[in-house]
Amino acid sequence: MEAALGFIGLGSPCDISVDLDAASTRRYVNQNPTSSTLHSSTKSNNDNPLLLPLFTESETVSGKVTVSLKDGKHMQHRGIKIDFVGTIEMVYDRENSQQFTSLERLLEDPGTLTATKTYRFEFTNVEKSYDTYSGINVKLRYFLRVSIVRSQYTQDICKQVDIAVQHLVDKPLSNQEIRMEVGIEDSLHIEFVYHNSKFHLTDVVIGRIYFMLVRINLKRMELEIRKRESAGTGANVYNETETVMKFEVMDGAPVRGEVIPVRMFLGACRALTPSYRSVNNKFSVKYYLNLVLVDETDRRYFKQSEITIWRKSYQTV
Amino acid sequence: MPPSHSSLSDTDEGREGRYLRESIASVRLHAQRLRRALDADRLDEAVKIAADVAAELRSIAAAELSPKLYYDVYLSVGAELRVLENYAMESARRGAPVLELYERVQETPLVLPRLYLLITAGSVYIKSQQAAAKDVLRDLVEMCAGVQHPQRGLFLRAYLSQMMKDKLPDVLSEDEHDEDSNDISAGTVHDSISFVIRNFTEMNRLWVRMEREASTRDIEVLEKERLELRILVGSNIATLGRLVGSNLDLYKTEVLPAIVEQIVKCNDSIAQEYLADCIAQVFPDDFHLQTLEEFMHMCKDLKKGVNMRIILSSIIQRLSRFVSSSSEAKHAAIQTGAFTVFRDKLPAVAKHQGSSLNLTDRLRIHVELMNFTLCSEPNRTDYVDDVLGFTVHDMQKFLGSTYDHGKKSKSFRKISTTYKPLITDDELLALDVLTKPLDKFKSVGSVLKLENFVVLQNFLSYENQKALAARLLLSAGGYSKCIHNVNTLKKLFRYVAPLVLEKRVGSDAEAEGTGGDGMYQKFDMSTITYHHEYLLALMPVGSSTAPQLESSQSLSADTSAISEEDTEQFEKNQELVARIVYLCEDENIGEALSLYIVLRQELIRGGGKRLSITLPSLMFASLRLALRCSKTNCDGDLVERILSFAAESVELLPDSSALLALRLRLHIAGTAASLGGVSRFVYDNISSGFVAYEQHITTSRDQHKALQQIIATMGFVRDALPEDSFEALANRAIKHATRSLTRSDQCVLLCMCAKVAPKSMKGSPISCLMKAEEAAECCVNAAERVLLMLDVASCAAQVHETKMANVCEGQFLGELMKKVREIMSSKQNKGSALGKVVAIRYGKLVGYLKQRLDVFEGLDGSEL
Repeated sequence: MEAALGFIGLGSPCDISVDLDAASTRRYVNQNPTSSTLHSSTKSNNDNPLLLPLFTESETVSGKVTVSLKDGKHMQHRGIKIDFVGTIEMVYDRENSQQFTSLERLLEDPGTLTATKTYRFEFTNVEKSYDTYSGINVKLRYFLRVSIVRSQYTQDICKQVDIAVQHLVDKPLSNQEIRMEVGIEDSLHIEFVYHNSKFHLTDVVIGRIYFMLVRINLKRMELEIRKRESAGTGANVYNETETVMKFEVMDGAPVRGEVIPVRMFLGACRALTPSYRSVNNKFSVKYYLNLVLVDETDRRYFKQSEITIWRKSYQTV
Repeated sequence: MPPSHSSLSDTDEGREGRYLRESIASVRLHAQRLRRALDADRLDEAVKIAADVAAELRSIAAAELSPKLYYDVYLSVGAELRVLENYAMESARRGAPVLELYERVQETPLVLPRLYLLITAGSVYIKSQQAAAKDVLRDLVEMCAGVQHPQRGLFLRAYLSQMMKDKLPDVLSEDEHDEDSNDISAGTVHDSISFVIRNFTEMNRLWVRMEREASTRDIEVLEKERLELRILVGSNIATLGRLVGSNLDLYKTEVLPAIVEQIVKCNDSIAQEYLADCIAQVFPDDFHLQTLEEFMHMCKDLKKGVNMRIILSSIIQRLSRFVSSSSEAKHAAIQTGAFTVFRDKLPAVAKHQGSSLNLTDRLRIHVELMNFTLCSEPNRTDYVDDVLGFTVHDMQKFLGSTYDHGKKSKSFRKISTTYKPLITDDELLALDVLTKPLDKFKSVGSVLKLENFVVLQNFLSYENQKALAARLLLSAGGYSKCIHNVNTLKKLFRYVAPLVLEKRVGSDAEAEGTGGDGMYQKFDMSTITYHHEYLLALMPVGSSTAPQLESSQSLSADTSAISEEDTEQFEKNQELVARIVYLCEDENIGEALSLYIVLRQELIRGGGKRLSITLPSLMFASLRLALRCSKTNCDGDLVERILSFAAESVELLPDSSALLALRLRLHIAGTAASLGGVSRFVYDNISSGFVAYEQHITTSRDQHKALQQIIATMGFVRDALPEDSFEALANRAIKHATRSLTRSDQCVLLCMCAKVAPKSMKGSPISCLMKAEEAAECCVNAAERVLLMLDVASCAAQVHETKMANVCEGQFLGELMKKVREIMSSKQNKGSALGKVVAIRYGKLVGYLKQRLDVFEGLDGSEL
């Protein structure tokens, strides 16, 4: 295919590869996790993991770029450069996408490339303020882009290499419990307590549900983690709510006075990200603990409470 | 796959079977994957597959299964989880941290499989000693609250207790803990107990809840299912039993109160019944003895309608067996006052249960309690009486009461005074309660201390009353003298009244009675048909005033009642009554006599037919008293009183027993004669004998026998009588002898008279002999004739020897012998069998006479 394209002049005359320094010792992040849901084992494995090298906030991004020509051909160009770009991309609203960071290094002045050539590059202490994020309507990416600028009627040759960025957060100073009494008059009255309202990504939600009055025949009770992603601004806000984790905490019908323990390991949910509040005024991600009671007729009663997820340690593979 | 509900032809069993096969097949399928994952050391995957295995216990198919079939799925899941457990244990041995697994399994999204895996991991965790057993136990038992579905929850917790069974710490305190292996202190037996109790509590709650949840389902099916599941709950108590071991303190302070609280609180009859029985069965006997109070207290708090019979019988039976096993056990029972606990608590339990504890069950409990009392404290008749009292109380409660009705209105009284009849089973149980003490005490004296005995006896049917009274009398095997005073004797007669009186004693009689000693009111005076006034004088004061002699109609009814009875049994029973006299203390003769008088009064109530069996022994006993009295030189007056007592007694016998009466009179005469100084008794009794002979003895055979006895007695008493008195009697005897119907009777009796008759009188011995010979010669039968003549001859020889008459004078004897010889020599008698007999007897007599020719002067020896 590529050979055929080359023959008609559309194929790329050269290959570009980017090798980051210390790539073999670097930690990697899977940027395409399968979200954890009920019946995990039935989930197919066809979303292949997308492994990205992990960088921290102001870490230097350096490495080398190799441009290798095919079949000893010559290639004219109008300069070779590399960019470090940070973008927030609106998946369904490209116009509102935004580059919040862009740094450029020129690797080669315009001329003719006669042989495979390797260039070093370095973005020293480049600022990476946000976490990479891959949501439904919005993506926050950092990537390196190598461009070989060609003559006017010839398409530039580009190569993008994504990297992942994660920020660690200090343990929150205050971490209030969530306690709430809810119910339906004369038929259901419960009180639930979660010991914390802020959780790190592999934290454990510990709590209890007290049944003070049960006049409906319940079948089971679940705890869900719901993720609410708001992308865009103004009139073009896309809200998307997704249940990223379902966790059954009770099977059967409790009677009055029953206390059901909750212990949910968040680590089981690979799709979990930290909560984000108005990232560059472009998007927010909020999480909710949703307590769902299901009765005999499959009617659902629920109450959700917002929680904050923070990153205590890097999520690497 | 949800099972289809479409096929209508499916029977329930068929459908269930299919669900079961489906479930088991799925488990197997997952299990294969599990093994493969473990073989490849892919633990993460293995955990997920294991969750799938366990999830079969919550599948739609499994939800349709009855407990029995669900149990099959449970077992196969358990077997597969063991594969994971073994693998994890192996890794732990190599040093892998079990905590990782313990946390990993908790990521399982479904609660039921999650908890199965958690228990499995927890088991490894404890076994690896990487965690303190007590912490893991506490965590597991708490987390299991996530399953609130009764059947699934019960099995889950059953899995928990089964997996932890061998991992429960059993040391009493932390200090004892063996610290050489690691630093973690696993915990103590207290931790284990609180774990088991908590799990037990939760299981019980789930079990109880089944009832409430399934409102739509068939109650019968449901209760059956509950019964199938009970063993899961009960096994916790067994575990507790093992943990407690022999530590009474632990049981008393920690285990029992917790179980009791749960049993009482759950307020479910099936659970209460089963669990209380579990306690009774699981823990050692001596524990029960020490905590009986608590146990009974719990029984009081159980729900109405719980089958108390099962619970109480079970505990009482155990204790009975226990106290019978060793003397230490018995000692312990006495020390802890086990009986008093029952006595004090049982009424409250019964009261709380009210009518839901029916009479049959109550009686069964009483039988057990009686048994226990007799095993543990056989000497406490008051305790035994208490038990009888309970029975009486319940009888009155259930059958209507004759007591406490004085204040109530008349109409009510009428209803309440008649007891409903007992059903057969109940009656047998009541009988059982009554006979147990008899068989144990084997002493009438002890039984007489039981005040409630008679009251309870009154509830029985007449037949059983009699049987019981007979058993009482039979139980006194050794006949030790246990009746020392009149009151005791009277009391005994209240016990044996059914045998003495003509009809059932108890409520009916009392109801109709107009006052006084109610029990005897119904006695039918008309059974005594002769000497009425005389007898009435002998009757107890109270009864003689009440119903006067009734018409002959009731008499006939009465006799028919008796004739319908099994005569043999009747006689046996009356013989037992007759033996009561042997129970009377007779050390002091005067007191014994007054006892006898009362005894006779009591016996009179039985009427003539009974008296003829019951009186003789009393009379003989009184004659023995008289003999002893004369030997000890006591008051002559007393002797006379005894003899009059005996003579009076004979008067009581009915006409039909005239021969017996005669014999007894002759005995009195004989005894009086041997005592000396009381000749009037001798004369009086013999003369009365003649009167009886003349008036009441009608058949010739009886007459002959009677006359023989009279004459024989006369021979014995001759010296005790003044001559004229004796002559009068002798003349009467000779007169009657002469008037005998057959010649042979005349001959025999006259011979006897000859021996007795005094020389002086007109009808002297010699004339008797002559009359006898005449009678003999009149016999048509030659053989009889010759034998009688020989008899007369030997009698003559005897009379001669006693010098009462000279038979040689006038050749009476010689002539007689000659006649005999003549008959012997006649042809037809020679050589016959009779001839030989006669020859032998004749030879013997001749031989005798020849030896003593000096005595028989005038007898020509050569002629013989």
